[in-house]
Amino acid sequence: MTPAAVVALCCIAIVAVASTVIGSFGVRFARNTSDFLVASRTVGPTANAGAISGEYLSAASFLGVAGLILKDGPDALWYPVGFTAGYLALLLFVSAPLRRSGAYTVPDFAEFRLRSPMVQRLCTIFVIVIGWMYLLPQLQGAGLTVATVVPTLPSWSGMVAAGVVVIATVVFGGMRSITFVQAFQFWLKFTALALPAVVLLIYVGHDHQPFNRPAPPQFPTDTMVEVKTDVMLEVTQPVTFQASGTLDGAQTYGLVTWNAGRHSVLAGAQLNFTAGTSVPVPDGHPIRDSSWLTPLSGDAQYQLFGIYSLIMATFLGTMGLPHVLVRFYTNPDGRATRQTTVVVLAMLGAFYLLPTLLGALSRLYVPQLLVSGNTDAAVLLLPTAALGGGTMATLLAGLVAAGAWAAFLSTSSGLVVGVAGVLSTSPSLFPRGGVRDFRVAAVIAGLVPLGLALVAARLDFSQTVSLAFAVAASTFCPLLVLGIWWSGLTDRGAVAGLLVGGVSSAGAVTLSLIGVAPNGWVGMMLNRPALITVPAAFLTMTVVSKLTRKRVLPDVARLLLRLHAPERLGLSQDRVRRFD
Amino acid sequence: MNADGPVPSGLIASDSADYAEPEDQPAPGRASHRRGDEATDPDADLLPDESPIQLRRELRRRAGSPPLPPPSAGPGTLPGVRPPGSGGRHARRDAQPRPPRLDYVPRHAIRTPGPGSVSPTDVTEVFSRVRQDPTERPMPARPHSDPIPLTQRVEPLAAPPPPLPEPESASDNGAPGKRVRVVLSQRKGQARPVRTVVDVQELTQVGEVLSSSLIRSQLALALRIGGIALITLGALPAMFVIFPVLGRFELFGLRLPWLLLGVLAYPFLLALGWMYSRSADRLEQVFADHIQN
Repeated sequence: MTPAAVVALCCIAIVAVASTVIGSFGVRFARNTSDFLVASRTVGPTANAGAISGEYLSAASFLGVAGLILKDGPDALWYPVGFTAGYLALLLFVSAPLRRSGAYTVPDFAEFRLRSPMVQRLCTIFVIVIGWMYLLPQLQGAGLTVATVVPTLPSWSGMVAAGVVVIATVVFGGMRSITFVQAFQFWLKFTALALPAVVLLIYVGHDHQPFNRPAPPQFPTDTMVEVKTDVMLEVTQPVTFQASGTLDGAQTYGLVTWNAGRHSVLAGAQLNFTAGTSVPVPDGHPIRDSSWLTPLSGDAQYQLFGIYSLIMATFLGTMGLPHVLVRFYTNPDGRATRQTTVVVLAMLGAFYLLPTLLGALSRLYVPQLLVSGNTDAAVLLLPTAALGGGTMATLLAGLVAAGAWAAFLSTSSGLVVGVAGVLSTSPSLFPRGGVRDFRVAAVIAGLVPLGLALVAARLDFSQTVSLAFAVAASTFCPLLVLGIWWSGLTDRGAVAGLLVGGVSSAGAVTLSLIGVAPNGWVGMMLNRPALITVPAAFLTMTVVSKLTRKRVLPDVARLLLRLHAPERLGLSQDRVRRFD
Repeated sequence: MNADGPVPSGLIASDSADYAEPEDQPAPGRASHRRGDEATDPDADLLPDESPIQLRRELRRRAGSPPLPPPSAGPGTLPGVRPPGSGGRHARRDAQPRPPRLDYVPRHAIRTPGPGSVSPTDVTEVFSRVRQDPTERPMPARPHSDPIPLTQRVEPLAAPPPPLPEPESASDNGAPGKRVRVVLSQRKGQARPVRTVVDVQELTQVGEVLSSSLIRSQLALALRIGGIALITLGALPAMFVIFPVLGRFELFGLRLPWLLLGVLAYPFLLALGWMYSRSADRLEQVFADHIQN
């Protein structure tokens, strides 16, 4: 093990231990279930905003955004913009009314608004689906981080370690301590990207290659690339390199020259490039730096559809994420949730500047990731690649690894709390709904995705995450928005809309996750289903509700009033009171 | 609202009593009744009704005053017979202060004017209560809920009380047994909220109008801000396709798409969020103030 690897592993271990310790300290303050589940609703806007941002900035944000920018340029900027704008939609349409509904989770809200056990059960299923879909890339990210900083360790060890730490933190910590843990983790993540960004700007400054060159990126040093998944690469000018493995369908050992065109490389190949060689780029992504700099430069005409679909999924999906909603419940009132959300917008905006900068720089320093397809590792490798060896680079790399680890831990524990909260408050599974049941549910909520992560194939983190966003946007967004603002929503309408949106989006997502999606329009629609499934869900919900108008609750006006009237009028009630 | 110091204890007690009252009386027919009531006559609130009587009797009871006879029962009403639905039917109107409160005081004052009664037009409110007939049965010590004879209840509506001068005559010819309660503080400020809050809570027509206007204005605000965000950000990809030159345009050493999406989008979203949060808070503030004042 190299010294750099030791430093990075130590940093990871410190983060894991610190999280658990802060968690167990926090739990001493938790005196009852209300403390445990909702931190007794006493978390102020800034602390809660720190916790929400800390929880929200996952592997997809910490690692995935920079990786996608390395690959796609400004088109990838829609991911962080969408991840942030989702909070604006949440603020505008959901946050304060949902807090006032007193609902702990979306199923609770459904029961409050529609009094239909069927809708509640359906929502529970979708919360679990979305939560696990979102947990998958987090655990895989933990595996990737460990495997990147310590190449000798297999990636499953990272996944298992992350899974165990997360389950332990949730089971022993509960919500109150997690609030502290996550606020701490936000600042850790922020520092872990801000410090390398500042150091890189100081050390590298303008002293780097220009971005705007009409040529592919070049390897800055002699580079060995191990290809771990099958990939189709494209080059625009002849490239010569040493290779061993299956290239273009033939076993190859020794010097290879690729002419302009597309070439396939199978997993297990090893390619050695000398410094200055042009970097082969994965098929379908901008090849030349100059085209990488401009938006919508890829060769696909359906890119515009993809971008709008992504905007739809991220803008509207955030409000349906289980871990996000649970957090707002720890605020004392609706007004505080709005303030919290505004602070979250500021924190996310400040944070996302960093992966954008690092992603752009990684085009210059770690272009070999384009070849291996492992672009998610860009942030992890950038400090060492840009600064050379040295103590500074080693420490920075360790810090980044620690920040990445914080990202998985916080998001995963938030998701596990969210899913476990839904499981343990659903009366059919856990009739008692106490702390003990919550702990059992937390173990279940953590173990299942860990099993899935060990066997599932890996996509880019941001892509997997945006699939979860698409499902959330197609199911919970219509339910919440119509439920909060439209008195005409009926239980039948909700069920129909949830089924149409959920089945279509989850089906599309599953197809693209198992990799059977064809190229072209169909593939794009399966990969980015939101632009079709979200309006379909809204439409179904509205039309079926209109058809079943008689089922509108008689006291719907009062319910809506409770959602919108300020707390000082004393119309709201909190639901978790039964645990108090 | 019980926190106000100078309010006599009787007032406080009755106040809280009538505050809690609406929950005890979820009469199904009430909402529709009130709705029609207020739809036809916007000044319906200003019309006298029976409630001040009940309130004041309650006051006296709480203040520990000697038993009080039921108000001069109209002919044909049996004391102790509770008119249907009278219990809390309009009780929430207790909360509505009607500064002159002429409907009640003068009526008794006219019949048995007594010395010492004070004009209700004075700044301090004066209630007078007279036992006109010495043989009249005194009220039970602590009836749980006062029976109010139906005719009595209807009376003010049927025969509006004479205007101000009358109380003066009442004070001129006072009768023995007359008791006077002087209220030193203005109850206006604290009394009102109960009424409108309850209106809103119970979703009477007024409440429904108030709450739906709140919801509508909040939705309009959210849609406006969301529309700004969506149109501004949503126009960008299309603009980059339609005018490719935008994608190559440089500003501050950064390509325009990088500058817009990588940097400026975040302050933009933050500003929208901040604007919304402020405006939404203000809307709620206005709503709450409106129904509490």
